[in-house]
Amino acid sequence: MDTVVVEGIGATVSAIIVFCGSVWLLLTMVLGARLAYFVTASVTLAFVVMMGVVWSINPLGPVGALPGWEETGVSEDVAELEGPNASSYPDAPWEEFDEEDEDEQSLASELESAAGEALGAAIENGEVDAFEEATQAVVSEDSARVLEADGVRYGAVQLEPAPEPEAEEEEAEEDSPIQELEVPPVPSPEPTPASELPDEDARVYALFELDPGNPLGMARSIALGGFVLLVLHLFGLSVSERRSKARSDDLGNRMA
Amino acid sequence: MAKIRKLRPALAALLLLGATACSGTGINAGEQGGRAFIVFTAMLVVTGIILAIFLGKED
Repeated sequence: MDTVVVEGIGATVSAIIVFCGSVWLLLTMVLGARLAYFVTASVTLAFVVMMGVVWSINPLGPVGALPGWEETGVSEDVAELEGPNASSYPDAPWEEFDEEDEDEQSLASELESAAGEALGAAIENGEVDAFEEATQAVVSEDSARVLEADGVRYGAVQLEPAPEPEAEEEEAEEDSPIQELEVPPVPSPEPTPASELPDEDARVYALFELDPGNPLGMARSIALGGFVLLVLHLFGLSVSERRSKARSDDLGNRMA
Repeated sequence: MAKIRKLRPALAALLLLGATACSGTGINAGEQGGRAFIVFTAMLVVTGIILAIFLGKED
């Protein structure tokens, strides 16, 4: 196990001992060990349930699996992609991502970055010959499209050859003090031979399926688990309190 | 006296942990806050156990 994980678990256990334990220790002096435990645990669990409910509505606390794009296929020919209406890309029924919706735009950018990774994997597996390396390709502008079929969302993008980097022109000002510094020349990378450059007309298409994930699932599990434990502790608290009261009444009767 | 003798290892461990903070060989809480908090809790628990054994149960 990673040291950070061990340290995190240790710090969490320590926090429970210090923060809950100190309250329990104080209450022990008044209520006795068992009743103090049930009071402290019930209060802590009630707080956990409240936080769990808040986190179940908004992803402000611990989040579960986030939505992500799962690769369905990468091909040089759009007709070869296996998916609903893949061959009609980029035309209808494929639609552009909503530009006014931030969530949609974030999904679109995730789709574009996933396409780069999928291309790299496809080149390694020999599924794509149009590019030698994934860095030779970029996602074509405004090529990201989305399609909903049978309750599942699909995303597709087109990749094209990356533009060649332009030679940087050195524009040094004569009076600039930077000019006095002697900077060793930086060796420029050797230009790629024209034979290894991808064809200008090369196009690769990537199709993905959206995994909606379950971002609020973990918080809901915490809320539910906390609620069950809270109910059990409240029952224990009730029994313990009744027993404690009976004992106290018994002692009072003996004293009298 | 017998109780103090019995608690000698625990007291020595507490003193040793405390002394490292004075000598600079201890844990730097500014850099290793998590580890320092864990050790602090351990010291607190050991202190509680020592006190419980030393003071005993009130009749």
